[in-house]
Amino acid sequence: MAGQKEIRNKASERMRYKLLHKFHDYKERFKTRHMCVGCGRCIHRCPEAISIVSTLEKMNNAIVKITNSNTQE
Amino acid sequence: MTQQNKNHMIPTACKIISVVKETDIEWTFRVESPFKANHGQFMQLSVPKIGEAPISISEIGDGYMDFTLRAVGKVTNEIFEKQAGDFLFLRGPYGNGWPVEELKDKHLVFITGGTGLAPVRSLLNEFYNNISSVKSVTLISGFKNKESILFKDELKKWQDKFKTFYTLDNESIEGWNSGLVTNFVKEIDFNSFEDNYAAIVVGPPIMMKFAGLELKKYNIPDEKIWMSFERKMSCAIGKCGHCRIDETYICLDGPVFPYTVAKNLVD
Ligand SMILES: Cc1cc2nc3c(=O)[nH]c(=O)nc-3n(C[C@H](O)[C@H](O)[C@H](O)COP(=O)(O)OP(=O)(O)OC[C@H]3O[C@@H](n4cnc5c(N)ncnc54)[C@H](O)[C@@H]3O)c2cc1C
Ligand code: SF4
Ligand code: FES
Repeated sequence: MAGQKEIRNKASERMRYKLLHKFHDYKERFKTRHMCVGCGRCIHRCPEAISIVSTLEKMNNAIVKITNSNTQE
Repeated sequence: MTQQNKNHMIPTACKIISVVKETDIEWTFRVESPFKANHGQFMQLSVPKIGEAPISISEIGDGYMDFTLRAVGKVTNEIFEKQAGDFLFLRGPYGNGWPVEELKDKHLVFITGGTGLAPVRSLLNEFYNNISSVKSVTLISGFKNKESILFKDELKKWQDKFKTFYTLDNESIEGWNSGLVTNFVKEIDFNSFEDNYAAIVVGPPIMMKFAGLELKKYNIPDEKIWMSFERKMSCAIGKCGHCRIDETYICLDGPVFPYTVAKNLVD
């Protein structure tokens, strides 16, 4: 890109971007299915053994928590 | 091969016709090309065993295409080792390109920053050669300094038929203004365009942002402003997701967007 700017500097920002790709943006754009088939290959490949399954679960719990607190108000 | 099982990732070897050194780090490669492309589209350029990079088409001619590259890394540095007679590998064209038909018969205002001139160069030449197809062209083009000026001959040529404001960020040399491109938007009399105009903005993200805001000061409606985006890309065919901004895929849906969409593309 002109200016050679790095858009996502932090690992966390990149992880968020990846997750949104796998579980939201792709489906939203192409109206098909989620990108991730749940094969688990990336868990073994990951040097830090970050599990996509538990990351998704964490995200899910967070969403449930947010929606619950919103409905209670 | 049927369209369905055609491998879209396979590039075509294309011979380099000439290399023009615009600046120390920005060169224009003219390459033989069998591809048909629209103004504002891009191609994936590659060097075997090194990699690929998305590059805007900076001119389309009969049997050839120009690419104006800045040497910044792995692939682009390797391409700079090449000379006329060598081969570059191309696939594409990709992206939507400029809405040429929509721009015709209008007063056009181009605002470019640095290498942002490359993706509009072919369009500017198209209108230069067919000046009757538009009402008028105003070109505000800015560069960092004297050393980074691109397309010197064409900048000069365009002055015959376009209204031009050429400027350097913080240097003053003869024949050039000094200051950021945004300073020159106030010189344009949008009222004289009788609501029949469009503004085209290309450059580094920060420049596009402020040019957009500057245009809004003059109440230019969003749908009259067009921008071209660059993002990190890999596949260029909507598979990998590298270029995404939320659910917008720059390689498929862009790189050209009206400001109605562009203003929401923030990540
Ligand atoms: C649609 C489009 C059109 C483009 N048109 C042109 C053009 O006409 N001329 C031109 O010189 N360049 C253009 N670019 C940018 C060009 O694709 C990158 O400069 C190129 O991919 C760098 O590859 P490299 O292997 O040489 O560098 P690398 O070795 O991959 O990277 C060098 C440095 O540049 C950064 N980088 C690499 N690619 C990008 C990118 N796409 N955006 C931001 N930072 C990046 C890397 O993070 C690294 O810091 C365009 C990009 C897109 C998406
Ligand atoms: S689980 Fe499999 S499909 Fe899902 S992201 Fe990981 S590697 Fe891809
Ligand atoms: S570059 Fe792969 S999806 Fe756009």
